[in-house]
Amino acid sequence: MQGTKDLPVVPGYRILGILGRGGMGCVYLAEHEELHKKYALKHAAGEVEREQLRREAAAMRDLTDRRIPYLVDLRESREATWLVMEYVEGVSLAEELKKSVPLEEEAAIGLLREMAEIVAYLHRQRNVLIHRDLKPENFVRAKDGSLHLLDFGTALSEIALLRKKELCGTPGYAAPEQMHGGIAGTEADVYALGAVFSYMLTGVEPALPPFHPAGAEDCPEAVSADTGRLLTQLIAAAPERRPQDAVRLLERLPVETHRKKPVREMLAQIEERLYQIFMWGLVTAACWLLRQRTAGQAVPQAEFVCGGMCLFGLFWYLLRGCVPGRERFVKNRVWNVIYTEKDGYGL
Amino acid sequence: MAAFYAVLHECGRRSMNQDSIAMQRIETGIGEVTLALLCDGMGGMDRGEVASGYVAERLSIWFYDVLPGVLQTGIYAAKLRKSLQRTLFRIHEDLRQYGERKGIRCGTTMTMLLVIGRRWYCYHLGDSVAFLLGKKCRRITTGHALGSGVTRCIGIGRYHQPEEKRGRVSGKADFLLTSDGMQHHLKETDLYHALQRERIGDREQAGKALRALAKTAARRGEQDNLSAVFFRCG
Repeated sequence: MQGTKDLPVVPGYRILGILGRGGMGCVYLAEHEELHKKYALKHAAGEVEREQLRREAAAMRDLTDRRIPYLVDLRESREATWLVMEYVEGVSLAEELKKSVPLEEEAAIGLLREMAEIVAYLHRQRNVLIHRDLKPENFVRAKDGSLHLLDFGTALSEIALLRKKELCGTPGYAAPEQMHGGIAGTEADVYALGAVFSYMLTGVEPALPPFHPAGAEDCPEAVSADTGRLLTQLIAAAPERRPQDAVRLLERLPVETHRKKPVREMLAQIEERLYQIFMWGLVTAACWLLRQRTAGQAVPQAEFVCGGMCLFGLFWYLLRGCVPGRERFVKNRVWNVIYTEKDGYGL
Repeated sequence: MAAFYAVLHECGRRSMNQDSIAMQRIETGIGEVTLALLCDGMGGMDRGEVASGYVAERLSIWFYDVLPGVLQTGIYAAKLRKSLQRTLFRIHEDLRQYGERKGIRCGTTMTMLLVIGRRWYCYHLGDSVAFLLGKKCRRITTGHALGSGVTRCIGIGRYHQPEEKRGRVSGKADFLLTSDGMQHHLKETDLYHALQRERIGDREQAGKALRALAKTAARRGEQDNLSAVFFRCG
């Protein structure tokens, strides 16, 4: 939780701290003064942000699935709008994945199934609901182990699609038609799930430049051909080539996967260990040599060997790609906000 | 203290807001890099919001796609300028051709602030203004305007290179970018007084101060869109 200085006052609630800040406002952790129960409070002050919060409340109003936070209250004052909803305590999927990607094929498919089940619930609604901003940051693993989906700020029902005029979604996770200002249907959510799936399988974060999910060709050798084909379908540029919605996606998920022997993975691990042993050996040899020289003994052969090893180590270091690539250079996106009234993407 | 920003993006008395704002920040191998951009779509022209929105969009893509490659080999002002000018020229040509196709004049001003670690670079075209708010209020940009008209912009006429200013953030300093709508009826002292460091502790306070300034400008008779970005480096 972030700093708690100068917290706002909301009648009936005691603000305990800040859960997070987004482009559209702040989310606070609050306790109901009578019930002594914790809730998440979303706050918006600007007109655009307040409208978005009202839309979020409208989207969440009829949702009753346990994996989606329930709506408690929507409060309006002259200065701000407050959305009170269930507080889901847990770890965001982004944090979980940051430590563990690339995942094993079975684990990635299992996680994709969990996410698709929640999204399928939205797609099965009478007024089909499209989340439009599915990404690991918006999934939270609760303390009981269940996965929850948050942030319905950009969600829309299909009826509202034709009059929607704004850029939304996260580059890399948002479908091409969504980024280009076209109509983003349920296929856009399927694309976003595909982007998360790609991240889980390859470890390449789609939200970093060049903002494309890595394809099947970037998957480790251990990933089966069927899973590679599924990934290709999910992140296809043309919406008609993707499964129509999350319900169809669930139908296509394999029950069992056939794993090949992870040769490349094993070789990489062996190489990593060898490099570590080599570097330790080099440091030990250099120390020994220094001790000999300070004792007044000349050891020309050992110096020659040590120098050769240093050159070899440097060559190896460069070969291993330790010169930082652009993907490694950019570590994290902190803010990504554009305020505009222009429709869609491009001219 | 953590970095934060506050944005004012209000229509004012007009039916549409033709200004666009982008705030982007990434963590890189050489520290945090921030882009603050304010584009004032030219209201006298057609589709000002398209021009300003397009510039905000393209420069955000430049920020993520091109800038990391430029910074990877070191921070060189000449390389930065060259890379940005190449992108701005393409944007200018795209907007000019779009205008020709549609039979309209589609232009925008641009004030862009790039903060890389403790260094800042400001690139500017048009009549928006950038301020460095430290112990006193320092105006970074010079206005490219003659009377009520803008002499340099993107999308209309010939291509102009952006005016470049740079410096180092020494000690505590905040930045403020404002559109011309915030300039007509507000003095620099009004802005500085409202956004003094002692008064602004977080994003909420900065947002409140900007909204109060917008209300004052509207009360004094401002008709234009009201946009501003306040940014504290941290």
